[in-house]
Amino acid sequence: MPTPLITRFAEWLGTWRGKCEFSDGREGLMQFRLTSIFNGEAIQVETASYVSDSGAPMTRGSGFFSLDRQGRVVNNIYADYLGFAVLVETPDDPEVLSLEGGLPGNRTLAVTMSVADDLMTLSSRVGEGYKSAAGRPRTYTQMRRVGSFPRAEGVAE
Amino acid sequence: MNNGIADYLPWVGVWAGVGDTQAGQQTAIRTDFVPALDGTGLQMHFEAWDTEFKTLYHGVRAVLAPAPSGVLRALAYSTIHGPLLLELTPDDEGVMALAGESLGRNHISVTFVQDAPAELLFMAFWRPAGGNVPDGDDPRMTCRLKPATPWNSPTV
Repeated sequence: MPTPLITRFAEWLGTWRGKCEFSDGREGLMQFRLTSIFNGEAIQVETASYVSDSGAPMTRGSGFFSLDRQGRVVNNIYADYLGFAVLVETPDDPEVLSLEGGLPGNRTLAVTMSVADDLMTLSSRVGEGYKSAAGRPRTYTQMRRVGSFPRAEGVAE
Repeated sequence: MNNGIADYLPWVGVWAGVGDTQAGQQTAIRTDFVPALDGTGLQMHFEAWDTEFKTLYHGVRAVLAPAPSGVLRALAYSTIHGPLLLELTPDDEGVMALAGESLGRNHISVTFVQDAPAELLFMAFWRPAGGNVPDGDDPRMTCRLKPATPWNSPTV
């Protein structure tokens, strides 16, 4: 039996790559890799971005998706340019995962992700203090699945 | 002393041993250290099983990485405690001491000590936040880990 986490995110597992526009105006190639760990109790997310022409590293990150007792996604994350944070799911449309949490230095991070037709879309914004970050520049990427769809543990073919 | 990622790169590989859980059960432990984040971080995968490998007592996947300030922290998921952010506390060379609180408000402490060139002493405990600070006699998970051949590598 797949866990509730894998039931919800089975189609997100695998490796995704696409062009990325960063909030500071830079552009690059983004890669996300989502892997089920501990029989689907959590999903590890590994991220990396590169300069398109040279392949030089731009950003690196890591994180874990898990579900809390209320069934909300908790995403503890690390990004080398932002630091460490714990993001918690906020209400949104059923097919969209929206997360928000505090960063060091009185900043907040809001992330929105979705997968549709083998296209993963991610948008994130960093805000300051208690104010909404809606007007701030965002990091935006759309990524295609690379390679075959990895069947999660316990998911029938 | 402030420890850096490079201090722990000699530990990259698989370590295994038999020790005791905090609850007093005998446990078979396996820990993998692998470079992560293009070499700027270190990933640790930890599993503690009953000695017949029927029950996973505790599993942890962690990534040790530098914050923009340069301070090292560990991002982790634990099958007991859920998502974690642990601080690397300054310690002697050959020691990795991590501590922090879970979202469930448990205090967690994890320490690896390189006792000998081919031996890591692993110690860990957790207690409710605000609870008594354990002294040396309080229960904790302990295990002496030795380098092990990766199980997925062919034997030459």
